[in-house]
This record gives sequence, structure tokens and C-alpha cells, in this order.
Amino acid sequence: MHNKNMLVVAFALFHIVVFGQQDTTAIHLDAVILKTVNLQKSIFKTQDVSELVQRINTGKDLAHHLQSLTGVQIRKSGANVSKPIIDGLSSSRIVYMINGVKLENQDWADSHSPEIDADLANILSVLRGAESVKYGSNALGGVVNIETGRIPDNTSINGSATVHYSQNTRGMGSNLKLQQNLNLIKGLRWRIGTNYTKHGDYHNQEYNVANSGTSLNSYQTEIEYAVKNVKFKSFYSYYNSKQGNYFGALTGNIEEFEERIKHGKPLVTFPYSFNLHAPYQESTHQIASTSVDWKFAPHYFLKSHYSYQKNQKEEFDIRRSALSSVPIQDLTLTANHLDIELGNKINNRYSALGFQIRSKTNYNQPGTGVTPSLPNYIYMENSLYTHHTLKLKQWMLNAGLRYDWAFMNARGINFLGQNYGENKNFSALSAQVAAKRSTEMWDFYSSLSYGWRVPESYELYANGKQHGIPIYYVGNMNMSPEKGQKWMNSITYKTTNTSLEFQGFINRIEDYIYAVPTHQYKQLFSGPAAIFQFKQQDALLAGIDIIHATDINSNINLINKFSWIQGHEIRSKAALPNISPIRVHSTLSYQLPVLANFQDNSFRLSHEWTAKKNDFNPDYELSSNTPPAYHLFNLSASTSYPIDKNSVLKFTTSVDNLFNTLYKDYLNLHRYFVHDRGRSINVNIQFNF
Amino acid sequence: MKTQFFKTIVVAFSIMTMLGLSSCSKDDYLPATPNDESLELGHEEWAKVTFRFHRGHLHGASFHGSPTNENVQYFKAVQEINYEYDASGNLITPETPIRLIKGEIYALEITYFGKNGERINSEFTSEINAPIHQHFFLTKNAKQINTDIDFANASTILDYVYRDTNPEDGMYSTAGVTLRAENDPIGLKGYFFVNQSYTQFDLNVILVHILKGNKWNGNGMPFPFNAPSNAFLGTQDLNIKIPIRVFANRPGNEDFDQFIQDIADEFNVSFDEAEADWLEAVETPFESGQYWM
Repeated sequence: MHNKNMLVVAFALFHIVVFGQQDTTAIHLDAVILKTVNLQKSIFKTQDVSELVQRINTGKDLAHHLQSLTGVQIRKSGANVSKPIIDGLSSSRIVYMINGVKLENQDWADSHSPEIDADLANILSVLRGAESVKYGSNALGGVVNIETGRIPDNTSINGSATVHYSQNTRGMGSNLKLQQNLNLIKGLRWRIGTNYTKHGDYHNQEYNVANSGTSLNSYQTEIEYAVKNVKFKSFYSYYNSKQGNYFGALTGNIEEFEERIKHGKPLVTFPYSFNLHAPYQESTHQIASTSVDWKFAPHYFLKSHYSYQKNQKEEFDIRRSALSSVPIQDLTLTANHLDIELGNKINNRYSALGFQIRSKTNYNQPGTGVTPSLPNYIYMENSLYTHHTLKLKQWMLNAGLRYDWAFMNARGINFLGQNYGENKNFSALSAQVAAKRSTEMWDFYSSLSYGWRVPESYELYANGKQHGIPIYYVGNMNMSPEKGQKWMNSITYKTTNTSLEFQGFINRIEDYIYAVPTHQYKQLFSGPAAIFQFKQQDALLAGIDIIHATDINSNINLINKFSWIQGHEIRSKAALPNISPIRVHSTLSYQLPVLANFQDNSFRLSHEWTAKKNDFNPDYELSSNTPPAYHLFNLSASTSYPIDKNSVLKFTTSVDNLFNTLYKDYLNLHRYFVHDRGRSINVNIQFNF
Repeated sequence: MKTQFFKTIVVAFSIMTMLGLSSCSKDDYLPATPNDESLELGHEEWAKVTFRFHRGHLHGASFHGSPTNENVQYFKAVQEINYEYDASGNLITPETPIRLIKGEIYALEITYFGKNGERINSEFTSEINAPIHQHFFLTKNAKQINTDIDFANASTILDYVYRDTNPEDGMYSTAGVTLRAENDPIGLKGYFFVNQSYTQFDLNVILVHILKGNKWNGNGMPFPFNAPSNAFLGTQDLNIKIPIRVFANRPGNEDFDQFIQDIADEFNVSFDEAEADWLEAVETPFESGQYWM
């Protein structure tokens, strides 16, 4: 008992020390799943990622956690900005739901990632199917669901504390979660969580990548109160991250730019630094939400959910005419959501009728001295939807309809002092049907959805050089909403020791929006910049995933995954940019016997092969070539040491990129200028109590 | 009872829906009035850059500009080239070249202007910004004049001496105006020696804005005017190319006719017109120029 108390104090103290540095990104999930079967939710199959994998991923961002799921890749801008790609679609084509709140962000091109700390989640899921009806427009690619889950019944204070270290970046962090079912007031439960991490520059086999560090700190509080048939929930989260902006890609003219791309790595390298320096970006995202679930009759529910979000994005640079503490971009996005859903659940059927109001306002704080990338705008969307799920013996059926009315009013002043912007109206229907059939040896799933997405303000109004590389983005204010029809299928064959699953999808997107180089240059005082113009074309994306899992014996398990995806313009047949090459992933796990008091002893070896991207359009790339294929090997070992009945210490060590392979990933925007991360040895100690 | 209650809920829900949908008129909601950041004090986006080339000679290390004469059409003492954006946001890149003569010395003064026409050179000379800003002058795309044949001695065409002043807008030789330290060049002012003739090239003027470190090498010395460290080239506040033609040699007694012919050819005028223009220029008292650097 004394030892346990000492451990609690030690972990708490360590956490406070890290908190004092005001930085974090510890990642720890209790469960990562690919959508549970739930009458009120999606009917897509569940795919659990073990708690061991979650600990291995401690210190990595959300996108890296999701990468372990089928159909998910990562779009990166350097080492510290990444976002998930689901079935070839990313950014604002994916809806992020945090505890039921639709995350709003500025959706800036590739240089910004969603403000989500995966460590706050106990349940993390990805929906690849027909989800536009419930979650709204933008869900053309899918939905990422981040939930903290139910607070357990335990009436004593319980939770977990984690510390971790990453050798490559010399990054360290900690997180602490406390929760309780309060005995003093029946029905009242609470949870708090904090998370802090700071990474310095990363390096690879050959060089250090300057100013590639990141820091993140976040905390959250939850209160839940249930009385009779009513459940109140209140949730607040604060997220703050700083991300260094690698400046080695910057050049002053096209000749140098092209030379830099040809060279493929920094011309000048700088020694390692743990601290972030300008240029860097800082994001602060706050969410406050409250919800009421009321079962007002035996089979009827009324759910209401209100949330408020405030997102502040700032970009800092070494300023000439002002102090460096004045950002060159300073945007504040505020959003209000009101969701009301009336539900009816009788035995094997669930029906819902819902109404949503969503508004967001972007405001550029004056006084930066630099023309904002985005205009001031107000976006408002009202939606009405209904969806129904029916469970029969071996079948589960789902169907839904949704209609959105939206407008965006934007006003801005460009760098010439000219006014721009307008009032725009949008409206569209979304629909989905899905079916799943399960037998002892077979699972079959199919979904068909029709959704849409309003163009982002950046796509409509961008007119400026990106902070980082000499690319000048030009928006197109005449663009229409995207409309996508996605057909997705999955078939799984299962035996006692083996399962084999085929997943495939086709996604036809009308007026697909993407930015491509025009191979013209914008002459600026700071030199010419390559012009990227947003354009619209009808596009077709298709992909296949094959997942094979087998228990070789009672201690050894092997999982193989194959992923293929392609995207083309329908009219010209030209390949779309930023579509993942073929990937193959294998994991061999070995469960060791109990040794002394050490339990859950396991050892894992994984191998990833990423093919060279051959199906690409040179006109849509900055380089006429794509990175070569590469192999990555990763190792991990884990053990648990029980302290007493309610507490356990877990030790995890992992090695990413075991052979320190020098490689570039096609989906990394910075591949033109730098290589990806080299070997990293990571240590994670977690104390559950 | 419960059925009635359920109906009430549905009706209320429908009313809320209708109210919500009808309450949205795009004309009711307008975003905050945007701020024109280019008008802010301390802006970082200039609206115009002027390059003034003065022909002249040296008094020791001091440059003395030749006098100007408005009647001179071709053999001008001062040439100016400006870069600014047009109404569409495209940088106007002048096609008229700066014409130099081998053996002459040319001072170059660079002036940056804000949107309201105010001079903003002082942004680069402050205590904070001077250590991370320096102009460099590179010779690019050098050809033998009027051909596409590469010029063999491109790297030797120009030499340059930094002559920045404190304050930056003061003329050296004026009371209270001093030179910046030799190891603290900015390049807003300086003069060129022209060492080669019969060549055309782009004078690539770069203003580096150093993000990590400063403009000095390990020995505390600045980098030469035409050899910036690669580490500097990441972020540049200015990177333009001025078309230059070195169309003649400074005449001695023997090649005077060739010099006049070169002027005539360059400006597509007759030999007599060229000679008259040159005579107009040299009849102005040589030391009467008012420009010093």
C-alpha cells in the first residue's frame, strides 16, 4: 500500500514538472476501435486495436494512431503536422467528432492538422461507410469519432498516469487521468485529464531537421449527472499546440526552388534544438458542451446537445517591423452547434429524427501587419435528418436522409487593398443505405451514400503565398459544392484461427476540389512563387484492402494488410494528387509466458512496405518523380507488473524504423525537401490505479 | 397520455425546426469589417522598390556622383528602375535595362516604399533587424551582348562596396551622417565597379531575412556581396532581377570613336546624335554633382 501511494505521488510530481514546461502530446488510448455495432450508430464492423498498440503509439498524434486502421493513411507536412486520410480523402472531407461535438477548424490546406489530443480518448473510431446523414455534410471521406467513454462505477478515485520518452526527438511527456463515481451525490460522476508533451527537432540517418519540434498541452473536465430518465453531461476541453515551421524549404526564386527539390535534402543543416523558434504556428482550441438525454417514454428519447468552440490560430515569424511576439496571422474561429434528436427504439428497430443548427464565424484579429490568408466570414448551416436501423436475424439494415441549408458570407481585403468576398447560398440532400449480414463464418457489409461538401473559404478565396514554401495559392470563388457517391463493401471469412477480409470502395465525386500547380509563377517582391490553382473536376476514387489474420499457435499471431487505392479525374483520366501508393503491413506478435511477477509479456515485430507511387500526373506535382519504395521495421516489447488488486505498472519499449532507413513518403508534402524520421527508441511507463 | 405527450414533443420539435430554418437569411448576417493590414504601421509588405544607379567617380573611398543634365538623353548620370504591383497584383517587371559602361563606377541606392508612399528603409536598419538583413547582388544568366552565348567571365563582371549610412536616409558627407561599420552591411547603398564589357545579364538583387542565426560567419565577418551563405537563402524579403547591359568601354584616347559608336548602336541613333549627347553630358562641370555616397 505504501509503495502504491509512493508511485501515485511520483507520477503526479513528474506530471507537474512536465506541466511546468507548458508542453505536451502524450498519447494513450484505452481502446481504438473501428466502429462498434450499435443500433443507434453505424453498422460497420468492429476492429479493435490492442491496448498494447496504444501504448506503443504514446507520444504520437491522432493521425498516427488512426494509421493502424484499415483504409487510413496519413497526409503529412513535415514531421509535426499530420492528418488522417480515409479512403483517399482528408482535411475537411472528414468529420471529427469529439465527445459528440463536430470539430470546427480553419481547414487550411496541408499545413494544419486537426486540433485533437488522442490521449483524451478512451474510444477512437473511424467510420468509412455511409455516415453523411447523421454527421452532416463534409463526411465524404468518413468520420473520426473521439470519445472519452463512460465513467466507470468505481466510487473511489481511479485513473492512470503515464510518462514517456522518445529518443529521436528527445521528447518527453506525461498524462494523468482521474475519475470517480461520486458516492456523496448519487448519479454524479466526474473525470479530469491532462496531457503534456514536448518534442525537439527530429533527425534521420543523415541530418537533423531544424525547427521541427512540437509541443502540446491539453486538459479536459467532464461531469455527468443521471437522475431518473434524464442524463446531463457537461464537457470542457482545452488544447494548445505549437508546431515549428521547417524553413529549409523556403527559397527566394524558382531556380533555387527547383535546385532544392532536385537536391532533395537541406542545403544547410543546423544542430539539434529542443526549443521551438520562429517561424512556428500555435493553435488553441477550446470546446465547451452540454447535453441532455431524456427518455421521456418507454421507447422514446430526446437528445439535445449544445456546444461552443473557440479556435485561435496564430503564425509567428521573425518580424522585421514588429516584435516577434506579434503573429503574422491571427485568426479566431468561434462556432455554435445545437443538435436535437428525437429517437424511437423498439426491440430491433431504431429511428431518429434530428435537427441541427451550426454556425461559425471567422475573424482576423487586426494589427498583424500582414494580409490574412482567409477573409472574415460567417457560415451558417441548418439541417434536418432522419435515419433508421433495423436488425433482423442475420441482417442489419440502415437508411437515412438529410437536407442542409447553408450560407457563407465572406469579406476580406487582399494585399493590394482591394475588397473581396460575397454572400453564397448552398443547399443539398444527403442519403445513405447500408446493410450487414453476419453468419458464423461470413460477414458481409455494404453501404451506399450520397453526400456533399461546401467549399472551404480557403479554397474559395485563397490568394497568397503559403508560409513555408514558395507556393502561391489562388482560390476560385465560383466553385460549387462537391457531391460524392460512395459505395463500400466488405466481406469477411472467419475460421477458429484465421480470418480473411476483403474491403473495397468506389467513390465518385462530382466537382472534386483540389489544388494543382499551373506551372506559372507569381512574381513577388520576394521572388517568383509557383502558382497552385484550386480547380474542380469530376473524380473517381477506388480502393481495395485485404486483411489476413491468423493464430500460428496459441502464442504467435500474424496479421497482414494490403492496401491499394487510386484516384483519377473522370474526364481526362489523369491521376489525382496525394493518393497513397500501395502499402503492405505485417505484424508478428509473440506472447511470452508469465515471468516472476511480470505478466502480459509480449514481443512484436512489424514490417511496412510502401511502394513507389507510379500512377501520378507529373503536371500535378512539383517534381517529375516520386519517392522510391521503402521498407520499415518496428519492434516493441511490453510487460505488466501488478502492484495490488487495483493497480498495475505497465512498461513498454518500442523501436520505430529499426534499421534507421532513410526514406521519403509520397504523402508528405515536405518530401521534396527533407527525409522522414529516422530510428526512434521509445519508452512508456503507465500506472493504472 | 404518453401518446399525447409524444405528439406534443413532435409538434414542438417541428416548430423549432421551422423557426430555425426560417430565421436564416443571408442578408441578416455579415462578418466583421475586414482590416486593411497593408495600411497598418509596421507593415511588412512594401508597395514599391526603387533602384537608382548613379554614375560617378571616387574621392578616396567616397563616391561622388556625376552631375545630372536634363538635356542628356543617352549618356545619363542617373538611371532608375522601379518595381511595383499592378492593379491585379502582378509585379510589374520593367523591360528597359540599366545600361552600364565598363570602367565606370555606379552607386546603387535602393529605396523601399509603403502603400502610402512612405519610405520604409529604416525597417532594415534597426538594432533588431540589421543583424538578420543584408542585400546580395548576384550575376545571373550572363550572355555575350545581343547573343545567346554564355559570357565566360560572368563572376568577374561586377565588384561591389557596401556604403550604408547612419541614418539610412542621410547622404554621406552631410553633417551627422556616418557610415555603417564595414562588418555590418545592409546594401541599401553601395557602389559597383564594372569590370567587363559587351555583356548582358540579370542583376539578381536579394534581400535575405535570416531566420536562424545572423548574417556573420564564424569569424564575425559578413558574407561577400555575391556569395551569401546557403543558410541565408531560405527566406528572402526581396528577390528580383534587374536587366543589365554593359554596352561599352570607358573611352580612352584611342577608342573614343568606338565608344560613341557603341552608344549609337545601343540606342539605335546615328553616330552624330550619340556624340552630341555625350558632349552635352561632359560639358556639365565634372565636380558639380550633388550626390555623395
